[in-house]
Amino acid sequence: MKRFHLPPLACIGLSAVAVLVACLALSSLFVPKNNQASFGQIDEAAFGVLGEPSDSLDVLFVGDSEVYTSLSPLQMWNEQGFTSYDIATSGQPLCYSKTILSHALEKQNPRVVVFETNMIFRKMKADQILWREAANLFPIIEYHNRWKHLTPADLTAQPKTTWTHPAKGFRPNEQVVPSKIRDHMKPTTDRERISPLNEWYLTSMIDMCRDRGIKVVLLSTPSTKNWSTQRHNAVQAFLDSKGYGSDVSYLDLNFDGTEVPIDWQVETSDAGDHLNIKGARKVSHYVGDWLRTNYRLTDHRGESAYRQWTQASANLG
Amino acid sequence: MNGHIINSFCSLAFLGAFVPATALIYTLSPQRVRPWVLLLASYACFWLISGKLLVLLIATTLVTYLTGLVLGRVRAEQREAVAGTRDRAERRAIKARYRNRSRMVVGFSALASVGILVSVKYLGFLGGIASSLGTLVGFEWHLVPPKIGVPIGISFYTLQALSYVFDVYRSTIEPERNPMRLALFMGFFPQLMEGPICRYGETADQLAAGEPIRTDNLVNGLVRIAWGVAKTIIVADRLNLYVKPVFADYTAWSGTVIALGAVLYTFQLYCDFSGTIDIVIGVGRIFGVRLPENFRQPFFSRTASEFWQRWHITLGAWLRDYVFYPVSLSSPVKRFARGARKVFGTRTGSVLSGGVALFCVWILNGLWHGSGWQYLFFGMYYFVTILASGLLEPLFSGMRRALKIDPSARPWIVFQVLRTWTIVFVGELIFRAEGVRAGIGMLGRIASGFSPAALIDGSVLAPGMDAADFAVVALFAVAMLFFGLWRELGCRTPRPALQHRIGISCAALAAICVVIIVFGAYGQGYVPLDPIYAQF
Repeated sequence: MKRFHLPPLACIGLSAVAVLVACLALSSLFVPKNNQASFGQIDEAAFGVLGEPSDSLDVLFVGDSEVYTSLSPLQMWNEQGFTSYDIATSGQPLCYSKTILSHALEKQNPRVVVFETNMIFRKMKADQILWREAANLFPIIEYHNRWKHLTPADLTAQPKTTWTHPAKGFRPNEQVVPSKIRDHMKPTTDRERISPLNEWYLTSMIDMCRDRGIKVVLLSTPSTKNWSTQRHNAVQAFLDSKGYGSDVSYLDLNFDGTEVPIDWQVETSDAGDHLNIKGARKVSHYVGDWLRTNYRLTDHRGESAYRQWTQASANLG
Repeated sequence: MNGHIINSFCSLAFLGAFVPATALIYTLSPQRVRPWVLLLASYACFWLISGKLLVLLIATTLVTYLTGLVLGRVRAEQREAVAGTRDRAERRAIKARYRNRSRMVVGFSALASVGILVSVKYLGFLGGIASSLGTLVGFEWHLVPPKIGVPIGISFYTLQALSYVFDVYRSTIEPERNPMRLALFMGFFPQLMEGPICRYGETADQLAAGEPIRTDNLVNGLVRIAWGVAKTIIVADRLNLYVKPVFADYTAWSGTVIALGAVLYTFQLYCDFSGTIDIVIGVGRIFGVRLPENFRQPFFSRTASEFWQRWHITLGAWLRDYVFYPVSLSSPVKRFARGARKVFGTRTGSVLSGGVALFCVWILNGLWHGSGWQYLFFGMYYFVTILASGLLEPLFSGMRRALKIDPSARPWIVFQVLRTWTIVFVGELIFRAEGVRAGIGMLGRIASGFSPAALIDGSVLAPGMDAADFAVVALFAVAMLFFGLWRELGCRTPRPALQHRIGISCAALAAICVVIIVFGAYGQGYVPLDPIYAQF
């Protein structure tokens, strides 16, 4: 009897399918079973947003360390009464911002999404983007290192997201290291280049928000090290070229004499790179007031559904 | 390495996008166009790694091509001139005249190719030496090298260029008239980062053939690539957790940790380099190009010189053919050999005269790896070790006979292999150390602070790797030892039919891919290792 043989190319295709199926199957095994670091969750402070009750957040702040050191959701709650969360991670590239934002928008329908602009200029390597997109399809790629900590419970447990960050993603720094830069935001008409890939990711995130009827704010938090007039001009030119109108606003807090005068001798934790808690208080106060005024955000203080916010605020003092 | 878009051959950008795109265009192109596809892909790859420094590769290629043509012309003129006379003395004189002209052409070409290499890679180092010497004689000056960066693989393609010129000079090969063929030989993209260093006769015809991609080549190439990626991502990148902190500040660690760091670095270097070579050979295989092997189970070597015949084979062979033999056979060394044999006896004299060529080989080997004193020290370490083993061989033989040791007995072979390991571990420690002083300091710390107890009480786990990481490395090492032993003993499995082979290979490919995805040291908590040999 003649034996059946698969054609060689079918063999290759079959092995590719086998790898993909294995990745899918292993993904459900390896994915953390709760959104905490103790369960293997990566970037738990940002992913704590998934632990917030559905449709309970008014504002999402997206970005890198500039966000989680400058914007305090609990201060804004105390002063303005709206809810917000810092979905920020250290050195966040735009491809990762899109991933975290997509996860957050599966559960939340905020009025405003604020993108901190420093990440717009962060270079992304081709490999970084490919890995990110692959990890979005197959979480095993993100969580493969959990093989060291797998338990029998991982075989049966369903992933839950019950944990939220006590300060809603805000991670302040108390250190004081003065900035020596004297010519921050020197006037110029030059502008830095936004790479096409970065522009594509930013545009796709803005479109994702606009499709859901969410207003977008591009926010440049004060930083003598990361921000410049050239960068400001680039963001402004980007917005001018897109013509988003009132859907997208731009707020740059770096210019001298603006509403948030930062004392760079005492309000930065690392020579102008990030703000410390004192600087963060000023920025959070101003941004909270600006958002509530411009987007008519509801004051939820006193509403029973938002009791955990009052509790969280009390816990942090 | 600038790492503009592709920063490693293990990257998704290279393996997941660049190679498949090139293979697709190659397949869709007519056969006569395929070498051009490979050349364009090679230059595109170079551009994606080193940007505009591509111009240096093109410059070296151009110089090499023109040298080949000029040498060919000189040879043709010599033939004509010799044919025009029957007088033997006159023929000899003509040959000598044309030989001198050829030598001048070769010298100019070598000067140009090596000049480019030196100016981008060694000028800072040489400038430092010159400044120090100037200071010694009371003359203050500083040579500031141009900051243009080092193009990827310059040490590899320069040696290929030189080998082509030398081979044309020796009439081993005919000068190439088609510049595309030479350009492809010099810049074939899989070889760009870490070699292997090929000879023109080995790969030029295969590259220019434009053979279609065959299924068996594709499958075998993919399996070889997957195995290489596994070595690199599972082992080499994981070991970086341990090796990096130990070598960054050796004073923070005990002698035992430093000793283990040296052992793990050697294994890391092997997995990184041989893993990349597996990828290179696998990619070459997909396009129907058989590239030479660069490793042959080096850790089964019984002597240091045997180790270097099995590790980075193509560099060793290059140095043997273009440095060791020419120096050994040069008139001054021959004269020295005659004198040494008279003074020290035949055996010792021969070893000593061979030592002159050996010195040249090892100083060049050390310098080829980098512009730093530790690389020279590394080269001299092997020169002294190999020369000493040659000089002391009669003494060792006598001791073996006195102790009635059978040189073919297994325990003796195991002892020799372990002795070679020790020599290699020390060599790699010197090689990886942050300078000569740090290398000596690390060796001193091992000598004064090695404690076997630390291997048991768990304190060796301190730098970065946990027990699970060690378990993965150990399992992989056992698998590699098994395959190495299998090859070393010349074991053969019955060769199944082609279709079965493809089926088995596909299953192996899928399994290796899943193992890499799960156990690879990538993502959060891991910093991928820059390909080590790509920096040379």
